[in-house]
Amino acid sequence: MIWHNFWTGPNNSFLLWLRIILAFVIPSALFYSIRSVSPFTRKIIVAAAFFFTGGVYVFYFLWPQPIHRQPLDIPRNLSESIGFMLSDSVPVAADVANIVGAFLLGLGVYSVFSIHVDKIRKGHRDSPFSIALIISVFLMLFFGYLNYYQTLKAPPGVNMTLPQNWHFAQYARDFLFNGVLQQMDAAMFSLIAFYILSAAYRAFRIRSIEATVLLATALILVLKVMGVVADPWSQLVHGLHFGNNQFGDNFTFLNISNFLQNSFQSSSIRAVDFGVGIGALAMALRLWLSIDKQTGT
Amino acid sequence: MAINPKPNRSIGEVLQSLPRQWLYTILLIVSTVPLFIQVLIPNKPEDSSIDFYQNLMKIPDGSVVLLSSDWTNSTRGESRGEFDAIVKILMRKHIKFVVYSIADPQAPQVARDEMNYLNGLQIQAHLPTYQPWTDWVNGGYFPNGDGTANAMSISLRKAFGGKKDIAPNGQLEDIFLSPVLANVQTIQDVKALIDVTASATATTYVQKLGQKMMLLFAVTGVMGPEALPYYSSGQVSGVTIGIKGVYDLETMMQDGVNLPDATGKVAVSSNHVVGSIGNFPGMSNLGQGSQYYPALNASLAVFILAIVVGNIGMFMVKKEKSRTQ
Amino acid sequence: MSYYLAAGTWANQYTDTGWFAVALTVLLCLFVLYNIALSHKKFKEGKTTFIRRIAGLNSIDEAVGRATEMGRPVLMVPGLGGLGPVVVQALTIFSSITRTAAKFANPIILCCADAAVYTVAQETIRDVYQSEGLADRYDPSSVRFVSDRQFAFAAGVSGIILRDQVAATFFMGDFYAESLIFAETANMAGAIQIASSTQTTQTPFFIASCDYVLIGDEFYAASAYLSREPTLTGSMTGQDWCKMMVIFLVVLGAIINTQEIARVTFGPGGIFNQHYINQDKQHSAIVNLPAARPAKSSDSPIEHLFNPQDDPSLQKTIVRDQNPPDRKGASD
Repeated sequence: MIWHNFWTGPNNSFLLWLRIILAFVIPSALFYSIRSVSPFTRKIIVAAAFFFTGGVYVFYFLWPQPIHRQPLDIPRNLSESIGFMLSDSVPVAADVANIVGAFLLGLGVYSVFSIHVDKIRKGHRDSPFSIALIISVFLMLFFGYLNYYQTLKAPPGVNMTLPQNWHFAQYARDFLFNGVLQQMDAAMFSLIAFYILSAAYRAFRIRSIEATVLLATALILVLKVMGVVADPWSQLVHGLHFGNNQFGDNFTFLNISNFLQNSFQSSSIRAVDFGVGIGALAMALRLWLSIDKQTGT
Repeated sequence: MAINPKPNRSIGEVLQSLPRQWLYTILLIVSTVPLFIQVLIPNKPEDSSIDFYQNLMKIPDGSVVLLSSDWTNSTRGESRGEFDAIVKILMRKHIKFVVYSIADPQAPQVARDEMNYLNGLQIQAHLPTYQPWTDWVNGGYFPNGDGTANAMSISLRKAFGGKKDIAPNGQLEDIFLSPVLANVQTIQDVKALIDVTASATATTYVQKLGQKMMLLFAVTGVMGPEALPYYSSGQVSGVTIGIKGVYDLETMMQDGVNLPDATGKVAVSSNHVVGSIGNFPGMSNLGQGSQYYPALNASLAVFILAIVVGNIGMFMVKKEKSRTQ
Repeated sequence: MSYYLAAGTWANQYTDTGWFAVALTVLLCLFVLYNIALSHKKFKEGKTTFIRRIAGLNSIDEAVGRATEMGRPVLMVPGLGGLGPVVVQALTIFSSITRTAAKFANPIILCCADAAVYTVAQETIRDVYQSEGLADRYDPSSVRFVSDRQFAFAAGVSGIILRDQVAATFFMGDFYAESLIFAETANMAGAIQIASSTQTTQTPFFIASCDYVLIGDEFYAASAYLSREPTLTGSMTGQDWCKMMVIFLVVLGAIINTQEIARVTFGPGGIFNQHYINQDKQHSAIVNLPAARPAKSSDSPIEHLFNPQDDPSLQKTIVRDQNPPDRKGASD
């Protein structure tokens, strides 16, 4: 396998390990040196780094893309070689973001532990919940990693993800994941149905013309989903004729709903999405150029 | 000790302020009872579901598709039924797929568990199971969804590079060594991307992959309005929404579209389709959609009733106030 | 290997990748930047930009004041999204709220669902207290990472709302299904609620349950509204210019597409003749078709402006150039 990237190397080789260590040491050294400079210089360095990394994506967006590029293609000219280089850099950037995102989770775990250990130490009135949380975290970690380890070390030909090959660790992981976590997730989600009912009962009042129109259209859209109502109504209106046309079919809940959704709902959502998208564009532009003024700083 | 008597409330005031607990109890009973009673409610599939089914059936047998499984058991009421129906169709057409997630780290494990369940159903029906590695692989979770979708549009091999799944020898191997992805070089070699999602991943795929491949979305009821503009503009080839969408798929799997049965009767007719779309006769097509659809109808009836009761109460109170004034 | 620039190749590549969309995006960015510069100029001249009243933002002080009177904390949630423009905007608004709460010595709770957001939020809130000279009032545990699991986060925040009996809640950012759980729980606790979601599907839930809701673009206007800083107000004006451009393009596209569709769909003998084409553009090259075919909507000029001129549904085969004899190995 030909490797042409400085940061790769043959598997398990000394050169690869050296590059991994360098990849840790160099950014750490950069990080500590940035901390030692003045805040003004630090701001400039951060803004420059921000501009450069964001600029890669901007340049990638502006530069013409290779068309129908196949894996074995090579660039024929300067334009294509720059396009190839930019498009090759995007998956690398995505991988880096994936790895950084995974590491950042550790920060969140630290926050959870620091708050709840503090609560337990101070004997806060909710400390039993904190104890339950920490025990759950360790149980899930233990059985999750034990399951993974046993999967890796399984005898040849044995796929530990299949239920017929499970041992105690797999059953424990399955109980904690499917039996406890997933059911609690589902229970929390099902609360929404009850909350929708109470919110709808409390809030949906015909106090104005707009509210009346809103409720009427909402009623039609709901009735479209209810087969027990929509089907008899369809059969009722199907009998209406206008010449040779089934004129009545225009008045089924399905067709009226399609009209409402395609004409009013979709266009309104598109309008809001345009506004939100332009707002996000402006915000991203200000962040990229480091001209965003936050009220907190 | 003087006790202030509770002021007598009018009927209108009572109707406007029913206790939450009553409403929740009524909803609990009404939504639970239909689960125990098998009722087949007549159904006319929506155009977006018909397009979803039609385009899925048009994928040539033996192709490869990407199945973005961005749901967990919190939305299993809708997403699980969608996933089951889609995978049943893929199994019956011998379409290989890569299941992965860009939304939730739990999702790949949930998909794996669901595949085990569906294979269990296959065994019960004395049908061949869908083998992991040979027929489908698990691509895992990608924390950076936007970047991953971007990378997929440029190079599928690089986007999924380094992802491993368990091979028949029990060891973790590169998924591109599996029979599923061995002949896949670029995104054009994949016939469709099917996204079963409860979040905004649909928007991400439209932005990054909308012009490169066919997109089919199976979304929850809440995300339906967000996906429909992309369907009506032609950027997405089909959308199935919520429990109704699941029931639509099951209905079409059972009866086809514009397809006469043995007696010549057409169970599901639609002007939206030119010609007819096939079905899967003699197979177990009905599932979660048909189970939950009656409960959905009953729950929606309770919602409508609650809103009507609240508004009647409001009008009664208004009338009393105008009478006293 | 030496590179050469084939004549017209660069232009061909660009015209086939939807150059109009790129040019439009650049134009929209220039609108924003121009208006930022203009706003700074006007600021130096002592002029201000008018922003219409946004009820939700006007009531922030009222909400925090109410919480102070009741002696109960203020809760802020920046949504479920990762670090991006939406969360940065939410934290900008929250820093303004925190500034008010800090002056009243009112406790705040900021719950994060993402580890990166948690670190940035900590820094932001600490900076606010320090800039107000109230560093001693800053409580590090006021900014919390609850969980990155959607419903674990919902359960945790609901528990905080009910146990701490918060008096004012601010939900701003990317919310999904948990939005209604938060809103109803806060309603049960009797809190005043101001919310905004960039997800259009969640806005109705907030409207049904919350006292004030910022819809769509009002969320992005909030920072300009609260601070009146020239960069932000200029950016907001630039966004309005962008929206006018989008409206113009929508109207123009509707007119052009209507004409094209009429030509395509009305058959011979109808009002318009059906439109046939004899040439097609396949992979940067104009190709004569063996026989004229009816034009599809994807052959329309407006479609070509925004999309690559290559319709996959026409089942074209790809003709690859021969690889040069001195090519090196595979790239991956």
